Amino acid sequence: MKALSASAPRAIARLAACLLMIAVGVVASLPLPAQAHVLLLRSDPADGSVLKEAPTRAVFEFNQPLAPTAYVILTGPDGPLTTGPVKVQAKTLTLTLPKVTDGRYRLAYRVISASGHPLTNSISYVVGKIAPRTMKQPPRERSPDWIAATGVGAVVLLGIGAGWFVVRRKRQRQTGSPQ
Amino acid sequence: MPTRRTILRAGVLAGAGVAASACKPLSPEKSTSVIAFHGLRQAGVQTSPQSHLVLLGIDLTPKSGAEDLGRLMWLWSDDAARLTSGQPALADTEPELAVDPANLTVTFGIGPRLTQLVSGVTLDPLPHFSTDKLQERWGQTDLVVQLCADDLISLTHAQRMLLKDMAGLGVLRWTQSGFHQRTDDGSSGRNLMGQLDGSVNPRNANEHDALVWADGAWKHGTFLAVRRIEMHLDTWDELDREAREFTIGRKLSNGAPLSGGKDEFADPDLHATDKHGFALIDPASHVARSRSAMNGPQFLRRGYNYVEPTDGTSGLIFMAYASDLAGQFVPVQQRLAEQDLLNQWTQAIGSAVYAIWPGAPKGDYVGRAQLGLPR
Repeated sequence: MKALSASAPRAIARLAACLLMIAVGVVASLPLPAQAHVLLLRSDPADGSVLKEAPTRAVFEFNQPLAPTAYVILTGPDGPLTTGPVKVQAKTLTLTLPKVTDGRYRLAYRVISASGHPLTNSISYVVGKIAPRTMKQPPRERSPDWIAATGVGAVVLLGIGAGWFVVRRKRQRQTGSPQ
Repeated sequence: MPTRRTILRAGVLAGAGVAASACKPLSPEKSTSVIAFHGLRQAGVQTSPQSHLVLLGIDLTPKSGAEDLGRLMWLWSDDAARLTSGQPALADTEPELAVDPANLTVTFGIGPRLTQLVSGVTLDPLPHFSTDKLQERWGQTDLVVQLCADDLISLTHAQRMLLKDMAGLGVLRWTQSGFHQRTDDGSSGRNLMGQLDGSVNPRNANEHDALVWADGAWKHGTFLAVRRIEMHLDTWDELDREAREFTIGRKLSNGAPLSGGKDEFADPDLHATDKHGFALIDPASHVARSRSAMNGPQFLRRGYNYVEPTDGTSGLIFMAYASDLAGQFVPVQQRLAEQDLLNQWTQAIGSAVYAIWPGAPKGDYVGRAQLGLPR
């Protein structure tokens, strides 16, 4: 009885580790060429930032070199605004921003990696002091990474649950306790 | 389709003919696989694309004139009329191979140099496109012969007969072989990139009359641009489905535009946007760039896939038929050369243009009337 209760957590841990490895293996072998996808690394202004003064330009930095074709749409409290031309250099997209009043702004971008993968998304920022939530946020897009992370989490939780159940039943049988 | 039975039957028939010393020619029952050679217009243009293509680029021997060209067209027309109807060519050494024509069509055309022999017809070479990397070995020739059929035996036999009868009059410069995916439901066949190819094509007689068939001195003739387009399938394979569909502007599954619609024939809406405000069909995509200000087809596309057996390269033998190449085909190609996301994976390596003769009535041969030769 003593020996059994001492080994149970270890069995659970071993099972969980095993399932985790399987889950990682499954996710890694998914057909998505994840490394080929273009991702936004950082932007200036940063997504969700609150700025005292309106920025005069925006810079987006991606994880891969970009194709020359790129687009942006700037939307303010009163609708779409005209920006300067989009400049693409290596992994960076730069553009000048118009003078704007205080408010919440959304800057949507579409870039295409040099290898041909498109990415469409947006950042938003606040200029000056405004009441929170004056502009509706677009729903966040689910990224494959997010799905993968959730998948791993679910499998691990399931594994721990199953392990716990198996060990509990085994213990019940050995101690002869009724159902 | 040449079944073993039809070939056997033809053989038995031939044997019986010899035994009875009768002069009865080989004439198996005519099936639906015969496409008439004679007519106002040549077959093989408006004809629904057969499974196989052999395109022959031929130069006339030096110092040849209109009469030599006429002689060659007379020989070839006779061969084509017989072979397309399931009859062996004159002095055919392998008559059994001609039994089932399998929708064989033979279509003849002449290059810019020879159109000078025909009054009232001019054919300019295509302008240089910035994306071209043309190879001399797939370049312009004096003549073109397009052979198409649903069976490689009949096609190969016809090719051999025509080349045999060309001896002394012409020199073969190149051969382009291709294959096309035939469909039963009217949808376009797929190219090697997986796309339905040819969605925007004239669909009825009126559209063909308006876009394909010429008028005036070349009435009932047409013009052909042959573009050999290499596909870089190794890097195309690295793209996921979303990126491929984005590049084209259509769904891979059924060819429907990314702006919506039930199939490849739905009209693309270039103004439809996503939640960010960006066009669903990207302005740089192939669909958006190839689309002219006027909606609908601009010319007839008759594309065949190829795989080069020697080096494994593959691509598309793009054939555009139009009543006016400069007015209909060139503007589209110019727009694609300026910008098209697909350009990253495609490369034109061959280019030539031809005037496709009007058809010849029964008892006449292709080109005679246009060359002003006596019957």
